[in-house]
Amino acid sequence: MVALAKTLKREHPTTRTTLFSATEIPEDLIIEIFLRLPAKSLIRLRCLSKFWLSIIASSKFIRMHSYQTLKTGCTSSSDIFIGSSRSNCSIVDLNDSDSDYTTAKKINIIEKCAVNIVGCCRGIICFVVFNHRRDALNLIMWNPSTREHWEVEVLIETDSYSHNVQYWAYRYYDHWIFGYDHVNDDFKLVRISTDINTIKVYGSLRNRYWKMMNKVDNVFPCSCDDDKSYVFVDGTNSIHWTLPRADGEKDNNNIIVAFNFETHSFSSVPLPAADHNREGDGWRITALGSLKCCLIFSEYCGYDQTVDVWMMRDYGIKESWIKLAILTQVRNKMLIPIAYSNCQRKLLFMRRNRLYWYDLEKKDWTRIHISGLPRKHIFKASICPTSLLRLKTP
Amino acid sequence: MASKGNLTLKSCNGKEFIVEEKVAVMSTTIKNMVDVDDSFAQGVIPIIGVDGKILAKLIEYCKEHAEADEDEEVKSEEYLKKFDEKFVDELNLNDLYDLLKASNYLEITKLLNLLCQKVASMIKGKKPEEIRRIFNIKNDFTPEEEEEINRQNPWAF
Repeated sequence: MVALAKTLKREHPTTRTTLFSATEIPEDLIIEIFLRLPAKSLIRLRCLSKFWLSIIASSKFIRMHSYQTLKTGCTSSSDIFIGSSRSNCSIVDLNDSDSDYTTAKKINIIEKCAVNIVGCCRGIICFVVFNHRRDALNLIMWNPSTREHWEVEVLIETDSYSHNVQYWAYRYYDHWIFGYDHVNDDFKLVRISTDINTIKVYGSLRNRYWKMMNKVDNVFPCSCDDDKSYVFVDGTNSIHWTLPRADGEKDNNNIIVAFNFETHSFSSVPLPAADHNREGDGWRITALGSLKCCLIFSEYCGYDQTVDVWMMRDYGIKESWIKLAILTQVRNKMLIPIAYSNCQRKLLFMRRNRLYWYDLEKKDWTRIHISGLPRKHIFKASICPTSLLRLKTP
Repeated sequence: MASKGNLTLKSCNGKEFIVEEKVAVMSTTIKNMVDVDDSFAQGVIPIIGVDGKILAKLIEYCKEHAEADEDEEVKSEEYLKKFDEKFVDELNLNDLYDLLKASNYLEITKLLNLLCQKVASMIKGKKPEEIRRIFNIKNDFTPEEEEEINRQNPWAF
């Protein structure tokens, strides 16, 4: 880059016949370039000049930047991996993992209380913490790039006089999902209660308080047994889960249900045309970044297992499903794809507490050695792009 | 004089290039010129401020992409990706800089995207001092102010 700087100095306006004065790149071009930088780099660039500080800190630029990562829809090296167990939550900056060794940093913002990570999207990690003193449920939103956090009480309706908030906060039947409403530029929290089959939508950052905004009767059964089964895909405003179709004849014929938390409507997402009614362990859905749904189909063959990994390239379009990989002789059921790198044609998998890149062309595995990840089983793992989104003054 | 379906582009140092219209209109600027004024389609389109060497590069890029848009069989997505990679890798810094400005002026969105991405990956991790030099940005902070800004945001991870 020093070389480019030298090149710029070398230019002679008299002999050069270019569009702009020799050492000046137009502002809009610099913005275009800056939009493609990870949040971490941009924070460092805030000290460029007063003018550039005002641009990088402007809500317009911040929104454009967060939208840019959605638009490219490709896991880039600016992403971070977040893994949490019941007692620990760690961040891994994949940018540092060019070598296959990297270190996880423990999130220490909420060390005082039990960690309950709800999810992450648009560079914001969301935790729910029970506040014993006030008998209330607190929501913490944290941007690890800017280190800004916002803690606020969530007004929980208890539905019943016989139980306190703590009971409702920790119910086994409840699944909490954190998502970004791109229509209203706001974060939402969705709570699915499997026993009474209702879905509640909470908001919002924009309103500066969190309470239930809508309650919807779930018209589909909640088939899921754990938190991983409910998947928010950024850019769709929808939570997804899979279930076997109820119409009897073909028991193994799965469907994907999508619940849109903005319009409160249900729809079904088409499955790949081929062999989706094969017998086996069934489908499981994960998100592979914005606007990308991933389906894994696993089939057992004795001790070994075959896993088909499908990805829907254009959301909602049946024909856009492509089979990314067929993994054979996988000796572990817990193989979860968590990210897809379009640029490098690689899939990131988590198996037990380990991360692996799977090269789709070479068909080989590379383990990322991470020191400092929780020892116990990671129950939540996700990839999140970094962002500059503000929590204090949205 | 270009035959039907072809356009003549003229660089600022007088070099003329005859290109297919579908290639030339990958530039929104040229497309607008041709749409608005029919005489451009017959005559010569001057590309102000872009020299012959850079214009040849632009045409090379647009040609590949226009052909790919027309026939996905011959030039697949995979092929284009490899072409793009090679295209930016072979540029020296001077050309990269000129192409960036030219593709911005001519509104060749795909190429502009590609080049911005390239520059972004080059400056990622660079010190503010180096970036100021690259973009000719003057630092108008006092050392105290600069320290204050850096203090506000220590590294989170």
